[in-house]
Amino acid sequence: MKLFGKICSVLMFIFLYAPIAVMIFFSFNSSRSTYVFEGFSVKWYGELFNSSATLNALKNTFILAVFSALIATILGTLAAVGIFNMRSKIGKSAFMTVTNIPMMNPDVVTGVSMMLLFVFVGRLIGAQQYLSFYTILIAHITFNLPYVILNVLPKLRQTDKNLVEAAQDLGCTPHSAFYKVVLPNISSGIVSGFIMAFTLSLDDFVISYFTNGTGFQTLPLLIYNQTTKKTVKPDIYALSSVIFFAILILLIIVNLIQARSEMKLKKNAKAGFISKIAGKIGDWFDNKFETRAARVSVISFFLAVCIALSAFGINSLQNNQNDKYTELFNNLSGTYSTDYAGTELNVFNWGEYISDGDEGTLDVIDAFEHLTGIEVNYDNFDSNESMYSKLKSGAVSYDVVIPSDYMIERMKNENMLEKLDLNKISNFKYIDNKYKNLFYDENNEYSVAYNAGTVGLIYDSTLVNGEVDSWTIMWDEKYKDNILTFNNPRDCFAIAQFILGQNLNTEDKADWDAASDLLIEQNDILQGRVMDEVFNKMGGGNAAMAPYYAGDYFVMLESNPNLKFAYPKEGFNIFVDAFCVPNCVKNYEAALMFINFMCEPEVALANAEYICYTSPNTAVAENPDYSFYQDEILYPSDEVIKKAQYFHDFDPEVRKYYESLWEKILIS
Amino acid sequence: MKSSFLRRLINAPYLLWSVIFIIVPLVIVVYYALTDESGNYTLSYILNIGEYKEVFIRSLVYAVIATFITLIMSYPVAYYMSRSKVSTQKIMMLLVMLPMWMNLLIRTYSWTTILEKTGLINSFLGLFGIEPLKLIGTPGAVILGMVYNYIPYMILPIYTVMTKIDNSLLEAAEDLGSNGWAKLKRVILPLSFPGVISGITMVFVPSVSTFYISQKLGGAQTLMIGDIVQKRFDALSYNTGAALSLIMMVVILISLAIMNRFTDDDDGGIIL
Amino acid sequence: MGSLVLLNILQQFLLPQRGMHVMSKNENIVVELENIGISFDDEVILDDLCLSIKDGEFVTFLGPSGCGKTTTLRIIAGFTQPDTGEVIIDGNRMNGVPPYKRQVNTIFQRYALFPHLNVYENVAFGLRVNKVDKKEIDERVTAMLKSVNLSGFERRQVHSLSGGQQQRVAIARALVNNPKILLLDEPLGALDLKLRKDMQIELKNIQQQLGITFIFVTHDQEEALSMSDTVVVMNEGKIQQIGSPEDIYNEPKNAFVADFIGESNILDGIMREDKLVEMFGHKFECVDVGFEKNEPVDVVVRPEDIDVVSEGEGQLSGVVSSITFKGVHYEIIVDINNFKWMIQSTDSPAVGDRIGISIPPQDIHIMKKSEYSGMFGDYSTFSDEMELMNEVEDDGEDET
Repeated sequence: MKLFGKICSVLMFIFLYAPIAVMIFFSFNSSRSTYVFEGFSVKWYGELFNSSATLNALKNTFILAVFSALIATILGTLAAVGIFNMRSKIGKSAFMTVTNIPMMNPDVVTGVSMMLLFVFVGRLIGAQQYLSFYTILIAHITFNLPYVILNVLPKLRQTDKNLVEAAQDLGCTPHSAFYKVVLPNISSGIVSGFIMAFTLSLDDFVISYFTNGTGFQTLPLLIYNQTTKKTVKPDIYALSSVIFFAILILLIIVNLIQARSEMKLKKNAKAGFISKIAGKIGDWFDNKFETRAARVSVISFFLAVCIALSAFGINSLQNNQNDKYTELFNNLSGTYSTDYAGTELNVFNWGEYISDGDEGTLDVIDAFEHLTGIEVNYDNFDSNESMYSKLKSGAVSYDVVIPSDYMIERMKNENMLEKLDLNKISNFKYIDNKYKNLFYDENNEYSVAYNAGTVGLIYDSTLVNGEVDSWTIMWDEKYKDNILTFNNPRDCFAIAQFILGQNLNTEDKADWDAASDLLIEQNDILQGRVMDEVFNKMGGGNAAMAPYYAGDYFVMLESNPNLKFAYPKEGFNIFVDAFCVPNCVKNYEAALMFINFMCEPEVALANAEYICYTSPNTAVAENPDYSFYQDEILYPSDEVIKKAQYFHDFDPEVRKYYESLWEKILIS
Repeated sequence: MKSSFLRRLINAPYLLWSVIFIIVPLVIVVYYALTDESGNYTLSYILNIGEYKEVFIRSLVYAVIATFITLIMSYPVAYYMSRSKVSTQKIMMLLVMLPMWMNLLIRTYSWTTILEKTGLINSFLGLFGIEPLKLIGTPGAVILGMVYNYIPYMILPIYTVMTKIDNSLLEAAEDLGSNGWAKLKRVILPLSFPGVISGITMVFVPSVSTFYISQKLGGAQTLMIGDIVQKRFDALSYNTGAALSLIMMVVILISLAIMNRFTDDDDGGIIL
Repeated sequence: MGSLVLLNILQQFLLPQRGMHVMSKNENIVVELENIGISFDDEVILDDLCLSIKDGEFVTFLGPSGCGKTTTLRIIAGFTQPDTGEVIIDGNRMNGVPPYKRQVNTIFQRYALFPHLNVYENVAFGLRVNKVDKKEIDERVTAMLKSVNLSGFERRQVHSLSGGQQQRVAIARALVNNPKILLLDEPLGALDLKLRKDMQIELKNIQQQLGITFIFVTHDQEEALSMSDTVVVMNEGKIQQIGSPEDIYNEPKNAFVADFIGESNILDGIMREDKLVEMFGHKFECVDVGFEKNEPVDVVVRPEDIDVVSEGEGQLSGVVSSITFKGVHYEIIVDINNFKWMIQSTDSPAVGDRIGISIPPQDIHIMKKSEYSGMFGDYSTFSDEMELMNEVEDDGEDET
C-alpha cells in the first residue's frame, strides 16, 4: 500500500511538473519556436523586459489584484463579522448560500452574468462604454469576497466569545473590544483571505475576459492573446518561468517562517539547517521589533517599498529610451503637435498587426507616444465580427479601429464611422490610387488603407506531393487529420463557394446551403479550425495544409522552409484593411494624427516588414530596400488578381442565415 | 437596541454588494435567456438549446471522464501524503499547490509543446522511426488538459480529510483482523468520502465549463459548451449565450444536487 | 504553591488602600438584586430573584447546571440585562449600564486570556484601556505579577503557560484594576483536583486579605462549603436557600438542598407531635418543633449520623445489600422495609448480614414538604459511577 502510494506520487509529480519543465527549458530556446529547440539563449528574457505591453500588463495585474483583494478583504471581514453575529438562523444560511454562489458557479457563468449586468446597466443609462477598469475591479472583488469570508468566519468561530466579554469587563466599549481583541485574533484569517483573494485575482482569466474594459490588459489576458495569436514565441514561456520562480521563492520563504514559529513552540526539537538559519533571522527580527504592531508595520512598509520600487522600475524601464527615435523623428514628413499630450488614444487592431519593437524592430506605438505625448491604449481583436460586436455592444470605446473592407461597408451603412478630415492626414498622398475610392468607401471619406492581402493555400511540400492549384485538395481523404481551415464563417465559406463556382456575395440561400453541405462533408478529415494558431501548426510542420493570408505565409516560412504558397485556380479572396474612426471616438484629433503617423514612409515600411502584407503605401512598395520589393506573392500580376473577389457586406437576413449554417457546421 | 442596529449596519455593505453583483446578474442572465434582441419575451432561445445537445453531452462526458481519472490518480497520492512524515507532507503539499499558482492558460499551452506532431513525444518516437501519433486535437488531449489543470483540486480535499483519520482507527481495523484491502474498503474509503465528494465537485464544475483547454488541445470535433458560450458572447449573441449559460448552470446544479445526496453534510453545502 | 509568598506581597501592595475600606463599609450592602426575572426563548431562566450581598463577603452561587447561577453573575457583571427587576450596585441602579462602566471584574470559566497578547499585556489590558499613566501601569503590573508568583513570565505567550499559571494571570488581570467586586465564574473547573484544592485556599486567603466582595459560581458543593461566607443554593431559576455553609448542611430547607449538599437519606414521615416523628411505622425522637400535629414531612438523616448496631438493638433493622470501602469509612447500603439507606460507618458488616440502626434525636432533621418531596429516592440505584458522570456533564455548565 505504502509502496504503491509512493510510486503513484512520484508519477504524479512527474506528470505535474513535466509541462513546467518543458516550459522553462523552451524559454531558453534561441529560435522563435515553442516546439523545436535550436540552441540556448536568454534573449526572450531580455525581450520580456523590453516589451512595454508585458510590463504594462504586469503593472495592471498588480494594481487590479491589490485593489480588488484589499476591498474584498475589508468588505468580506465586515460581512463575516456581521454573519457571525447574526441571530436568525435563516438569515445566516441565506447569507451563506449567496456567498457560495460565486464559488459554486462556473467561472464562465459568473463572468458572463457580470458582463450582462454591466451591459444592461450601461444601456439603461446610455453610457458610451460599458466596460472599464471599474467593471473588472467589481468583478474581481465579487469573486474574491467568498474566499475572504470563508477564511475569516472560522477564525471568528474559534475566538472564545468570553474574550469580548473579558475586554468589556476590563473597560473596553464593544467597539474598542472589537479592535483590541477580536481583530487581532482573526487577523490570521484576514491575512490568509487577503492572500487568497490576491492570488485568485492575479490568476483569473475567464472572468477578466468577459469584464475587462478598453486598454486594460492583465497578464492572463495577455497570455491568452499571445497563445491564440500568430506565432507563439518563447517569451511567454520566459514570462511564466519568471513567475514560477518568483512564486517558488515566495512559498519557500513563507514555509520557512512557519517552520520557525513552530520551532519556537518546541524549542528543543531538532531543527534542520535551513530552519535554523530562518530561526536566527527571525529571532533577530523579533528582538528588533518587539510588539506585534511594530512587526506588522515593518512588514507592510517593506511590502509597500517593494511594490513602489517595482512600479518605479517599470516606469523607468519604459521611459529610459527617449533618444532612440531621434533619427526617425527627423525624417517625418507630416507635422505633429504635442497639444494632445497626456490624453489617451484607444486603438483597436488585429493581433500582431503592427511593428512592436520585437527583436530590434521599430516600436511604432512607443515612438508615437514619445512624439506626441499621447498615451496609447492598444487592444487586439481576432475577427472583424468580434471587433464589430464589441463596438456595437457599446461595451468599449475606441478612437481608431482597423476593419476590413466589407466590415467598413457595414459600419458605414450603420453610421458607426466618423468622416475623416483628410486635410489633416497629409500622408494620404502616399496611398496607391488602387486602394482609394473602393466599393466600401466610394468617395473615400471614412477610411485610409493600411494593408491589403490575399488568401491562398499554404502547404507543406514534405507532406503534400506535387504542385497544388485547387482548393479541392482540402477535401482529399489522403490528408485526413492534416488539414486546417479557417475558424471564421466568411473565409471558410469562401473556399467552398469558389469550388462551387459561386459569387462570394451571393444572396441566394440555396447557394449557401450547398456550400454548407460541402463544409460539413469536410468536417471528418479536418485537424482543426484555426485562426492565428495556424502559425504554430504550419510553422511546426504539424499540418499539411491550411488556407491563410498571403503575408502570413512568409512568417511561417521562417520556421518551416518547406512551406509553399498557391493561388488556387478557382479564385481567391482579396481584402483591404483600413484605418477608420468609429463614432464612439473621444479623441478625434489624436486619432487623425495617429493615422497620419502610420502612413509615414518609415513607419509604414517598418510595419510592412513586420506584418509582411501587401502595403498600399507607394513609398513602401516602390522602395528597393523593401524586402518584398516586387514580390510575386504580395504584389501579384494583374492576370492573377483577375481571379480575386472582395467580400461585400450583406443584408442582415443573409448574414443571419449563413451564421446559423456556420453554427451547425461547428457543432455537427 | 443599539447593538443590533450596529450589527445590521455592518452587514449592509456586503448585503448590498451581494444583491447587486451576485443576485441581480443571475436574474439578468435569466432575463436575457428569456427575451429576444428587442427585449420581448420568448422561449425560442431556450427551446433551441436542443441544437447544442451534442455539445452538452460531449462536455458532460469529457468532464465525467476527466473527474474519474483525476480521482483514480489522486486517491493513492492523497493517502500516501497523509501517512507521510509531517515534513514530507509539507513539501508534497507545496509541490501540489505550486502549479496552481501558474496561469491555467500557460499550463495548458505548454502541453502543446509536448503533444504536437513535432512535439517532444513524437520527436522521441521519431528517433525509433515510429510514425508520429496524432496526440493533439483529440478528445484524449482535452481530457488530459482537464486532468492536468484540476488534479490539485482533487488531491487537496481528499488529503485534508485523510489527515483527520486517526491512525488508531487504522490500527483498530488491523487489530480487528482487516488486511490492507479490507482496511481500505471498510475504514479509509468511508471516512474519506466527504473529501472525495468535494474533490469531485471541485474538478467537475470547472471541467464541464472550461473554454480554453479544448480550443488549445482539442480539434474541430471537441468543442465544449464553454467554448460555445464564449463564441456566442464574442459574436454579441447575448440571448443565445445567456440561454446556454442558464442551461449550463442548471445542469451543474442538478449534478451537484445528485452528488449532495451522497453526503449528509449539514454545513450548508459543499465548500472546499 | 507559594501562597504564603503571595499573601505577603498582597498585604504589602494592596492592603493599605483596601484595609480602611473593609472596616468602614463592612456591613453595607454592596449588591442588591430585586425581583430579577429573565427568560430566553420563552424559557424562564431566573424567576423573581431577590438577593443582597454585603461588602467584603465571599458569596457562592451553588446549583446544578442550568439553575441560573451563571446568569445571575452575568447580570451583576452587566453582560446580560434582566427582563424585570432592579440591579443595584453600591447604591446605584445599574440596569442598562454596560459592563465597561461597572467597577466589577470577572474571572471567566476558561480564563479568556487574550491569546494575541503576552502575559504582561494581558494584565496591563484594563489599565491601558482606562488610560492609566504608563509608568503607573508598569509598576502595578509588575507588582501584580510578582504577587501571583509570575515574575519573569512577562514576555511569555499565554498559551505556553500551564493551567494554574493561566489561572493566576486571569486573577492578576482582574485584581490589578482594584475592582470593588470580583466575579468568579467556576474559575477552578478546568484545574485538576490537587491544584484545585490549593487554589481554593489561595483564593479564600486573597479575599480575606483584600476584603473585597467575591461572588463565586460553582456546582461543586464541597468547594462552596469550604470557601464561602454565604452560600446561595439555586435551582430552576429560584433561590432555594441562603445561609452559612453550616446552616445549609445541617438545616437544609427542603429535599432539593438536602440532596444537593452532601449525601442524605430523605424519608417520608409524619409529625405526630413536637419532637416526635413517625417513619416506617416507628416513632423517632427528634428536636424539631413548630409543625402541625400529623403533618406529613420530609425527614433527612445524613449517612454519617447513623450508628450500626446489632440486629434488634437499634430502632430499625434490615439486610446489608452492599458495602464499599471508602478509605475513612465504609459505605453501607442497608435495605430496611424496601428502602435502601446509606450509612457511613467504620464498622464493616458482611453483605447479607442483618443489622440494626440507631439515629440520635439531634441528627434527625425535619423539613416541610416542598415541590421536591419524593423526587429523590433511596440509594437503590446509587453508584459512584453515576455521580462521576453527572459531574462531567456539569462541566459544560450554564452556557446561556
